[in-house]
Amino acid sequence: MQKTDVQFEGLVTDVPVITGPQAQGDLLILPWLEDTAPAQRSADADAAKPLTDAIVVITGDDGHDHTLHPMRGVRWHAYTPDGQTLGVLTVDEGSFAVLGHMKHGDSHIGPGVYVIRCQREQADEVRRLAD
Amino acid sequence: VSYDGNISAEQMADILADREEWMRTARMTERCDRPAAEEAIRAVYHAAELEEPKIVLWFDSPFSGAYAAAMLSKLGKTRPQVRDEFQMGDIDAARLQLWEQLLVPLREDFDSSICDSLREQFIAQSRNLTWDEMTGWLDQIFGTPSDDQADWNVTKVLNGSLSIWYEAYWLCFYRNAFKIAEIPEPEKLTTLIEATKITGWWWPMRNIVVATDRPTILSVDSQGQLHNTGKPAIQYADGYSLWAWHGTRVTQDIIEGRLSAEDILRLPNAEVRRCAIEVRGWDWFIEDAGLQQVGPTVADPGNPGQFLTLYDVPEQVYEEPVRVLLCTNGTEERDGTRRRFGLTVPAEISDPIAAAAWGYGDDDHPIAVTPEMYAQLARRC
Repeated sequence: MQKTDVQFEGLVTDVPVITGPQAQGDLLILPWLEDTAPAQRSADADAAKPLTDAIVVITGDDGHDHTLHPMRGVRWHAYTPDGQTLGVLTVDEGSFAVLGHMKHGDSHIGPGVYVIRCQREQADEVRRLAD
Repeated sequence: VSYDGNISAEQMADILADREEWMRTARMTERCDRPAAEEAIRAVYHAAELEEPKIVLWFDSPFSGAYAAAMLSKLGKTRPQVRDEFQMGDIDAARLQLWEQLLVPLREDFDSSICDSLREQFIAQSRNLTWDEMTGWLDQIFGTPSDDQADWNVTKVLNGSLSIWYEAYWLCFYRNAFKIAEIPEPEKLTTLIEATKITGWWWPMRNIVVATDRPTILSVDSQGQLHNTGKPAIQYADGYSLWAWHGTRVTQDIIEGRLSAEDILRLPNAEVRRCAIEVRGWDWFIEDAGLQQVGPTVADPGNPGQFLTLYDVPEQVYEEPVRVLLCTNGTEERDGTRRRFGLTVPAEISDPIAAAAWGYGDDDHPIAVTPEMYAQLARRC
């Protein structure tokens, strides 16, 4: 497990800031490495915009939202809403992103390019799993 | 006309607020204010230049209402339905004006994005599931005419009804389109919106109206699909009920978890079988159906303290052959049980860790999740 414990000015937290793959319930945060589909990676990262308000990335079946919070150096690009992969998150050097959830607790994401993805299952067709 | 092909942020905010209001209203379970509803219905007749109905008959559910409407139209040919007349005349004229000037860009701007959610949640779900359920019962009562040209059948009776679940998307669309186009709102539209919002399903006929109340239970999941655990997803005051699991209509037996694995395997529809298993949980089904384990039970590398076991699933359960991965928590809950849940995966996977990694894959995206990557997962759960 790769953990990067970065100290951020003015912020006291015991939640580790992680740059490796991490899960929040049925949601997965996956680093998008530079050598994986580089053209799509830079196009999607360029499409990411800073958040002005907290946004709901997806609502779980228990009614609790997975929310992304507006923070300096954090940008988000949402894909079309019915896919497995929900969108692309970029975090600048020296910043980190907060993905919040009432039940699972917050996840802190360090610098890098990521996708946020839902778990799937094989039914009569492959479908998204809601937690 | 001030519309220049663009909808301002302010106009969009107004449209979204109006849609929210429609959604809230379409989900209401409060009793109708019957005198107010009757008055609103009379105003619709007045706007359509029809003689006001002399009688408004009230029922608690659309099923009772459909039965009454069917009896009225079957017994007396003097009760033609007038639903279509509410949508002609001044609404048509205004629509024509809108069509010529603005309809195409308006549709592109907000019909698909704004009204689709009303269609998906209320027509595809509440209205269609109720319609199918009622058709089943009404066909049993009245018989299914073999001749489509018959002047009377159950479908024609149901087609004569109005309900917020069916009308919301177009009433919402035209109200907002006329507003943006600065075309005065036709009286027919105004009165129809008012009556539709404060009544359940209703059948307008010449001189008589069959009106029905709202449901007492209307339960949906986080995606707006009809869903309830252990109880009907829709229930009316007269007891008429409908059971659904994440948007699929199922029987009361299934929702109340009264089917054995053997009963479930005999259900004719794969989607319904899947729902019946999910209601009771895969962990129960694996035991009750005596599924065969594939390979060893392994510690879950992406989820410390949890164990993974893969099982074969009989081919007749889903249309597609699958296996099921059972995830079991190593630590006991406070009540002494271990939390377990099943995840279905393609049948060609024979390794529990590969099955868990597959669950985080996406065939439409270049990032693949390998078993090695899965093993590195940090987790908050």
